[in-house]
Amino acid sequence: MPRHIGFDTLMLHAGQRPDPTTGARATPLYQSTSFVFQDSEHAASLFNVGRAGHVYSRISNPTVAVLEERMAALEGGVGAVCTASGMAAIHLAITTLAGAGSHVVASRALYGGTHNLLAYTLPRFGIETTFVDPQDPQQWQDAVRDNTKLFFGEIVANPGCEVLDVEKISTLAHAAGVPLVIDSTLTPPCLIKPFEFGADIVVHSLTKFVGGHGVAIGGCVVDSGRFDWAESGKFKQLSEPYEGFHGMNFVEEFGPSAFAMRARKEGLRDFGASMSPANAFYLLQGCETLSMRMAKHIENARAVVEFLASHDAVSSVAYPELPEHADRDLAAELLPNGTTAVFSFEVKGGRDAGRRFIEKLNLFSHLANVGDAKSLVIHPASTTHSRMDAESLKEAGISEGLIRLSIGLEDKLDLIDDLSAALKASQKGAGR
Amino acid sequence: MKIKHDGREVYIYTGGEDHKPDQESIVFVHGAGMNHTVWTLLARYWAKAGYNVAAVDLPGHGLTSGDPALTIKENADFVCSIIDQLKLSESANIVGHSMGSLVALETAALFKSVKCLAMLGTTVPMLVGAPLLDAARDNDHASIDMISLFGHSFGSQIGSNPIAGISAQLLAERVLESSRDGVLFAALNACNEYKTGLQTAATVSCPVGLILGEFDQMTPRKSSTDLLNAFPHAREICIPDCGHMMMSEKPEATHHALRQIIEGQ
Repeated sequence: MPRHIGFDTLMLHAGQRPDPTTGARATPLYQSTSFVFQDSEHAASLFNVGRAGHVYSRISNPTVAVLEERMAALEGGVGAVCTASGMAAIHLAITTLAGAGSHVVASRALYGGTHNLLAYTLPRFGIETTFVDPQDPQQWQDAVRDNTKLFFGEIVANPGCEVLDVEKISTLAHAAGVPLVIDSTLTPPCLIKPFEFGADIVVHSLTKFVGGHGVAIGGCVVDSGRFDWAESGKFKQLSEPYEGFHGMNFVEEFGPSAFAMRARKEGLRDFGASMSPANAFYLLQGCETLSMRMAKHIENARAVVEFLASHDAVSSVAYPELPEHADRDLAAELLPNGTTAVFSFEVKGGRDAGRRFIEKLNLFSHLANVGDAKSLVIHPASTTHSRMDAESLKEAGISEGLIRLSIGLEDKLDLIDDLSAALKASQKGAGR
Repeated sequence: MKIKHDGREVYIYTGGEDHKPDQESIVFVHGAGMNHTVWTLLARYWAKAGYNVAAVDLPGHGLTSGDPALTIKENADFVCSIIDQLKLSESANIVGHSMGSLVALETAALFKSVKCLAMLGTTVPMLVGAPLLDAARDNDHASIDMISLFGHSFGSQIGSNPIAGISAQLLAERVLESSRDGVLFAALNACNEYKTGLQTAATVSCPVGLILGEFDQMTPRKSSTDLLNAFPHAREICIPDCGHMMMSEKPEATHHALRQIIEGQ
């Protein structure tokens, strides 16, 4: 029995073959807004979806398409749509499924930007969200309403590292007739493929581990192709004719790729948060070494966690591989290759000690990003999650002294030296 | 559109356009375990070009209800009766892929007014290996894996699909996964048991085109020579760097090949 092409091979090759025109081995950067029609009939056929090809780079572009097909292959999905950012990917996924009068059930342990979108911005457009404890299946089930259109969660929550029981929550979502949408940014597909556990749609901020270099912003939405939109009966935008596109019925005409096609043909066309070809080119360079980099990220993260967990100036470390972490067994089951390299810990001495710690770091960069090849640090309560009130912060497990680290690819001994010096300074109350 | 036919609900994809009287017709017939969605691009093109398109879901397949047909002739009788019911029998072009190509062949032999016959990814006999038949009989996912791997060229498994962002290989797997238990086996077994294709081909007087993939492992190009020679008027178009699933692997090359056959170029 032959076998499917392996992950590392797909990481390098999926979606791209040597350029038939030039022989270029690397993916060419097609930095072009638009593409010439062969003749007027070809033009009409492309607009009617009677032929395959590119028209305008807001909707599709050959370089971006390589990254889309690569992410689909790596996640095991039927198709993917790349977007201008990870937040644009979340927006595209939600707005393809939901509209005014819709409801979302979401984990309350989410990236702060996602929390903003769901808690403050989408309600202005008539989409409400009920936030639930990700570890409590009953809360997910109880939150379901007639107008619920999706469940949303992160595999390893940012920054508290709560682990979502994807299989259990996807079962509840399907019982409610809705898909489970997973933000898997901190757990790229070399660590977990959420579709294998029942998730239906995966979103990524490709800016993070997939790119890895910190030079390009981008996101993607991947469609498993397994959710039965017609059977659910809750998604008429997919299962009935859409006047905005020649009366197209996406389920009848595209079957398993209905969601991905609708996201592109409506979401990218009308909202326009498309990925630039240049960013797709940069992100592809990172994608080629994803699994090798993640192995090193994990190795370094484990060394740093071990150091912090035994340090007198540290009151707690939230990392799912530690014996005291509540989700240790679940993490081991879902993420046998490692959980993530983004985690948080608490410095003794609260907000002031945390500030002194961050300011004394030399190698770690103090900025608002994660998943870079370089190690990063931030204080969530005053930055990424600053728009959450005290109660929401508490519910999300974010204390005043919590520090988030994103462990990079440096020599781990240099990372530990840098952290050691900063922790010492944090407890002395000395400024820089 | 859905129609009632012989006690079952039958789905027919029209390419996004309503049928009109006095237009030429194209009937598309999908392969084993597949459905009308394999024809979406071609169906939309030909419907917009002024043809009455009927991409029919065979019994038990896709959105057509009921049990699957057990033989190629039974499937062909079904397609013929749908053509009759839709009043498409004058100037109909019949296009079939894989198992659907055998159904199209038998349909073309029954309708003497057929304008042309296009057989994609085809050969006669269309023998199916025991491991695939056994896995399909057991509704084992291994049958889908085998079709996925043998049905796509290595290049298509890598990707580079002109339909942006869609994996041709994973799309085929999902379509097969959506097939009801027993349907894939019934269809594959019908292919395996079909023995009279060469004799039938000799009776088809309309122009015939065979569209074959250069790297097709399921219906290898070289195995189609006897079929090609059995027709009074047939020609072959080979799609380079392509496996068995040409509509999704090489949609543009397949588009041009089919136009050559239907438009008589």
